[in-house]
Amino acid sequence: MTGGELKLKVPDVVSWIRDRAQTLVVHEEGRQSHILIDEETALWGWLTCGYEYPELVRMLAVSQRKTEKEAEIQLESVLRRWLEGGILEVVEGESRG
Amino acid sequence: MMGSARNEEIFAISVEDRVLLHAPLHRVTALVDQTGAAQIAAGLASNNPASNREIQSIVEWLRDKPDPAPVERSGPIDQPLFLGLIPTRGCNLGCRYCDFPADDSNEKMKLELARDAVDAYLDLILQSGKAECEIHFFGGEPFFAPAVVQFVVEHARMRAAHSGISLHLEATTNGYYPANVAEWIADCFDTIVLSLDGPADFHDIQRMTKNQRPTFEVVFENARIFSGSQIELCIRTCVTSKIASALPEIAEWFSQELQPATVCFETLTPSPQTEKAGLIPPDPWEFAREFLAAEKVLAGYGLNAVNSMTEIQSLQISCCPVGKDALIVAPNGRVDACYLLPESWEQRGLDMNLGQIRVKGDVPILELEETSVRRARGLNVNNKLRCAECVCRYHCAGGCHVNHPGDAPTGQFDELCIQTRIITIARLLKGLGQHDLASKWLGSRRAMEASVFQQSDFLSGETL
Repeated sequence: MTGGELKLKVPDVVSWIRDRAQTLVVHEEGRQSHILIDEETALWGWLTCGYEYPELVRMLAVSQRKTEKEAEIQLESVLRRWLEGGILEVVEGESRG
Repeated sequence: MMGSARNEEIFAISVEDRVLLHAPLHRVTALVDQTGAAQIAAGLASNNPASNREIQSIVEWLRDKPDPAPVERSGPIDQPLFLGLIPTRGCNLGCRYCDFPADDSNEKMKLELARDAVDAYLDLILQSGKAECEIHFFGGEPFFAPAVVQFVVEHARMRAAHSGISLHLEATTNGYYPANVAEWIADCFDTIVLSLDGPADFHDIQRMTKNQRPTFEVVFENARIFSGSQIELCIRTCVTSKIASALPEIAEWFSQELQPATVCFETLTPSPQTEKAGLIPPDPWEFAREFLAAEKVLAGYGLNAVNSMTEIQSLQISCCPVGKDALIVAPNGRVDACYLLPESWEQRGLDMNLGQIRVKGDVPILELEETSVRRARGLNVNNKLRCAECVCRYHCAGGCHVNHPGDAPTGQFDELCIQTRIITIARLLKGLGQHDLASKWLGSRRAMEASVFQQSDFLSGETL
């Protein structure tokens, strides 16, 4: 997935399981887990389907009845948190900044 | 003395030298001899007790107040059967029997429309106080518009979870896509109805790509993914004259390779397209026998055989979503009662449209026409003359409202009726443990004809 200027991916050491209400994302090496709910679980679902950044913005905007600008701000905030939590990583050599 | 009154909810079918009584509203099915049947008819027409105790106990059961017959829904739609979404009418395959115009219908549902349909449906469910809801995807091929499906799945799950509603997701699919799509489906959906016409030799003569390439290999690999997952896998096989005689063999193969929850064998619906492709429905007598043999094979593995018109466990007045308040949204926002193409209804003089998805202010609503809803609900077996006196009326309910019109005279049974009546009678006999009688009866065309071509199935002393 391309996140603005960076290409992001789910690290191989991250696995996830979902039930009807939430998604549990586990970083196997860091032994950290993240419980995703509401729009975060939807975003994780779309992201792991392989949708690119502009498509994620569009899907989030439609789902949340927001403008694409508002959706983009929300998406960036979520992606930043996931990067910090280690459940997303920057693909080496793919920096476009 | 024989009674002459017609017992309109008690059916009597001659099977060899016996009479099969079936009164679904009384929950009575019995096998008696001709004399016993006459005594039952007489007993119901008078208050005189029968001399035979077993016969008298049947009479008493039949005198008890029956369960209410299934009736047409009324009032506004507040308990829809499910929300159906048609992400696209397009398809990636060119099956020889398919008459959907897949080549020129690449319109895909807009995400905004899909969202509005889901939101309006969930609001309706919340208002009704229900805790469960269902979204079914139809096509074309729904996964030919993957972004729509993947958007809806996540959006609907989020909305349902937020509202405390349990969501059931189901799709009818051809299974022809990359394995990662099948894995995603297996992870997200509850039920998949997969079109698979058997092993490669059978499947590939009927189901191919638009450029006539075989599809079996891909579909089978994906079927294995579904089979190995938690998903409920229902295989749907279209039975033509070319594969009818192989149904037991196909059932054996399904059982060993895929262990689906159910295998649904439905006969080909003839159309100009199928005629052009040289495909014809099976002979109904052969289909019925082979279906029952396949059912036995599947039962040996603990699996279910389904034929939508012969399910005797339930009572219904429509055998499909029509009349049950399913809300099926087309890519253009129309809300219909049926997932078939509007052209196919119109050719039969039917209108299945219920209304439209609209947005009022910021709120999406299902704008349904009261008269249209009433019209769709009126498409049921109670308004089908052909079925009026048929033992199958509460099981097959007249079949497809579009492809099997019920306006023929009472008792004028066509090929679909013939196979339906044979399978239903055989299943009723087997339910009574009468396997030997069922086998004997199925082995005699003359005996089956005597049963199948009864003009009226109502129990009547005069006709026994």
